[in-house]
Amino acid sequence: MSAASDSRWALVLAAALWLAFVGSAAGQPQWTDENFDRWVFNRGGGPVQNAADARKELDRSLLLNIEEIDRVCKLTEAQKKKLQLAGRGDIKRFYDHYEVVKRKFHRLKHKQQDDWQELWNELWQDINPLQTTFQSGLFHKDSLLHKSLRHTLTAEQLPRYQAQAEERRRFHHRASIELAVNSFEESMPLRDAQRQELIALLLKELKPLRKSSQIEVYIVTIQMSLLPDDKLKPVFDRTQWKIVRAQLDMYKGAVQNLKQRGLWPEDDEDVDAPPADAKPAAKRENQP
Amino acid sequence: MNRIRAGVLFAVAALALLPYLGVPAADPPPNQDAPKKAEQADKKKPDANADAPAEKKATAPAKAAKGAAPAKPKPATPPLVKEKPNEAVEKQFELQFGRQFQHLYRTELHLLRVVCKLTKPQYQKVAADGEPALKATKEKYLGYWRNQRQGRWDSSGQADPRETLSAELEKALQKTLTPEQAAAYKKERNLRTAAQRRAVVKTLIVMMDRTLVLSTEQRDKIHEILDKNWKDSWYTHVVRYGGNYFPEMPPDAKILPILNDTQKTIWKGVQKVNIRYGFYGLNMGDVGEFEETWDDDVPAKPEPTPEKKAVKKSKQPSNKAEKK
Repeated sequence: MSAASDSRWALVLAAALWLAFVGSAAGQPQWTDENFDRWVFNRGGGPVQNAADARKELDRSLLLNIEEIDRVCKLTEAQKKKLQLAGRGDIKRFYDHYEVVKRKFHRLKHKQQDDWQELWNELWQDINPLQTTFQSGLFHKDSLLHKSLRHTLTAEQLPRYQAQAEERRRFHHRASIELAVNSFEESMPLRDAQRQELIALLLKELKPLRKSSQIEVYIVTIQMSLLPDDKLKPVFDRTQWKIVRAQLDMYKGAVQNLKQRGLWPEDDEDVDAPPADAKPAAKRENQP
Repeated sequence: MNRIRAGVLFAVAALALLPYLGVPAADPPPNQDAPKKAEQADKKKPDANADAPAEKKATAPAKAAKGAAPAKPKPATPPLVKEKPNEAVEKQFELQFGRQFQHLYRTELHLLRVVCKLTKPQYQKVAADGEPALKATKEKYLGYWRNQRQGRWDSSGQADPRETLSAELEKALQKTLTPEQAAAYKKERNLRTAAQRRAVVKTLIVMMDRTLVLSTEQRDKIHEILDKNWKDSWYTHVVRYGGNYFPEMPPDAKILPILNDTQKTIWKGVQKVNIRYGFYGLNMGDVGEFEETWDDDVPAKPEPTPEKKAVKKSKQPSNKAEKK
């Protein structure tokens, strides 16, 4: 919940710290490419420090994702190649975006400005989505890899993959709901029966995220804050409800920001569903 | 002007990053006895007495005076605070966090009320008798806070404040609650701990899954490993830093055998951090006034008109009848 946002703030502040440190020495920030890469890729002390490290990590992540699909669907070599191509497309798309922002960084870096903070704010508008994308992982439901599955897998393979993906999504969703409820109990403890009832309600009412996110628990709490009172209120007693409502009201304002960052789970069309023009298995080229 | 702004930014950022500066560069070596050590570390955790006011501590030698040679007082391990508690620091702590601890206490009392089915007078007695538990909890976190201000960060993994409070309450209310009530509260506490543990283990599996893309069977096996190697510090870590950093995990010798080659390479490179904790307040945002609601608190209805009064009187049973 707030923990995730704390760490995000820590990253922002890390950047600010660096700027302040360097800037205070010369009166003007000395931005380097290393700084830029750390802003985009570093997860607060992790091993990924630059674009090259990130590339290796993304390549390994693609390999893992394809291995997982292979485990479930028993892919042919041709299918694997097709998926690799799509996954590389995701990585390329990300690095194209990275290069665009980096070019802007270079432009601004050399610009003589009195107010570097204003400059930084402008740059951060571009770095932040890049950082979020990298941290969330590239191979989510909106990725080329994921979308290509519909055209790559056979009619027998696709449902097997969908079942596996759905099971994973449910597991993640349940975990974030359980953690959100437990975190929420720091301000209002519940009886076990209430806890189970609330978890069941949230599982029923809340949509899982399209993209994996490190702030999933926070997003769950915001979703919970938007549930109608008539659904939420019966879980709590009179004394609890006053506290619960007041606490949840504090989260309502964050929706817009999450929407802008593409993290809000709305209009969740089912991209796993086979397209209307799905070919029957026999006509597919890439039979395992 | 820029320099001043930079200075302010530097200070704010340095403050926010202090916990991260305590992160060791390398992973700790695999250790089969990690859970046992964690248990031992828990036992060594500073208790409320470590921060007890000077006058309370002064009573110890008096008790020992009955023996021929007073035994040397055992040094607290680790010695958290040697100096006399500073009143100004305590006041600042109270000012900054007192309201949150009060909220923590009142909400826990509410749970007690519901679980133990307390009447209003019973509740009032429990609330009064439980005050030492609140005090002990505050003192514990004051200790963390004071130490952090002196650059000494807690690396044992701070306990969940509510768990600390409820454990203290259990002690403080031994004579107040009936055995049945105490058992009911204990049962709820255990269920809460179990729920926290389930949520944390699942979150850690999700974190691993995001990194390693695990199969269902692998997730099940990791669930078993995490459950068997549970560390109390994981709760604080996951609630505060969940999703971002792995805590110190079970040894590779237990995890690696269930991973494939690609996963093994990645897992070995993942940093598992032993974060040193500071205390920045309870995880409850801005808390309002907590008000316990009772049925007899319902505001009196407006005085009925004389006509209605007369009608009502004829319908109502007398007080004597009610008592019967």
